[in-house]
Amino acid sequence: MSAPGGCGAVVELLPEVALGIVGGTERADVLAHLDGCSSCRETTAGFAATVDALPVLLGDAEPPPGFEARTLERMRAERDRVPRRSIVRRVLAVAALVAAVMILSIAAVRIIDASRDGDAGAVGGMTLAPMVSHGTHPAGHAVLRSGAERYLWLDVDYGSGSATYRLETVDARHRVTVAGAVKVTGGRGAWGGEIAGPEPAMVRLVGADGQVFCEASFS
Amino acid sequence: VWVVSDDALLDGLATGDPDAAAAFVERFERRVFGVAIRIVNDARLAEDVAQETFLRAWQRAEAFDPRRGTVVSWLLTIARNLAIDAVRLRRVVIVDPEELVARRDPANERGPADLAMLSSETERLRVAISHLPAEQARALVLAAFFGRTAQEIADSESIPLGTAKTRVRTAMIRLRAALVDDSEGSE
Repeated sequence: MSAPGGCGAVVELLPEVALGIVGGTERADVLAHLDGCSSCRETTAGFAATVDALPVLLGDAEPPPGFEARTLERMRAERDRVPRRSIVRRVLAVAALVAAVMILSIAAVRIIDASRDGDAGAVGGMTLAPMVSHGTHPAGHAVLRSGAERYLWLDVDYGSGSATYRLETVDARHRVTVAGAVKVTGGRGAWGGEIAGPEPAMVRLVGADGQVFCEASFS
Repeated sequence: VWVVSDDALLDGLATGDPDAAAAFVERFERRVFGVAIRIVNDARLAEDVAQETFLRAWQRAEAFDPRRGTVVSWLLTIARNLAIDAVRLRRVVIVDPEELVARRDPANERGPADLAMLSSETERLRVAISHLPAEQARALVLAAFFGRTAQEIADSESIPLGTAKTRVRTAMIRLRAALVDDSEGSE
């Protein structure tokens, strides 16, 4: 797939994409173009390598006394927390599965009802996609149930901040639909429900400043 | 004196070895904290960012791909991203790009591989930035180290959006060219 009119309209945005400062439909347009353009992917990778080299320029600074000990203690605490976290995650996974089953059940009943009324209906597949932030950092998962009635479930696990993000879906023609709001507390959040609008090619969480917090692509 | 490579230390960190973790933090703490403090400009917040950077490195060490860059650039990119997340909602950024990226003596407590990298790539970048017009350097710093979008740069600098985009794009193209030209020339 290539952008209308070739690479010209997209190429100028590649440095900004590599810097991670492009959001909204512009970013969706570029990502869609990159999917099918190896030349632009290579150019973007070059700019990304440049961006990755920049932080070294900031130089060293002496951390506060005790920094190393506090950091290692935090790592130890995190290591000790992993088993409990696994249990929590297992519970969340079961809850997610239950939610997904309920969603599917509701959808199936509605489809069956619709079929009885003479309308056509089909049970679409479920697609699982990783949520990523800043292009590559894992940030959770998104599950899309495609079909006449679409359902979306997602969980977010990234960073340690708290904020409410706008949940947007973007279809293959880059049309954006606001599906709801996702509250993230301490880096974690979840959302599930029926979504309106065209079949999404991707979903994303957008902050109050218009920046994309994280996103998942179903294509 | 035999020096453990950065990659080997990261491998040790991935296994959960406490000694490797201590050595890893000791080796990189000044660089990670340097990135954090210069972006967030708050000692307590910078420590949070730096600690979180090491946690992420430990959690994702197995995913590190040496073909895509060095341990240092990978680690400092994590720090940069976390620091930008921490300051993204700040309205005002007081930054002097020249002060932010100039000077820094790279020769302190660095291993041979580091020094080789610093003497080539980093110095080329430093020189390239020093040759940028001041307004381009400032736009680049606002974007790269503070996560400012072109629109936000346009607003804060009181310039048209197109001008802000051009400044960021031109600066990036020049830096990229400096790295590519030099690496091609050295081959």
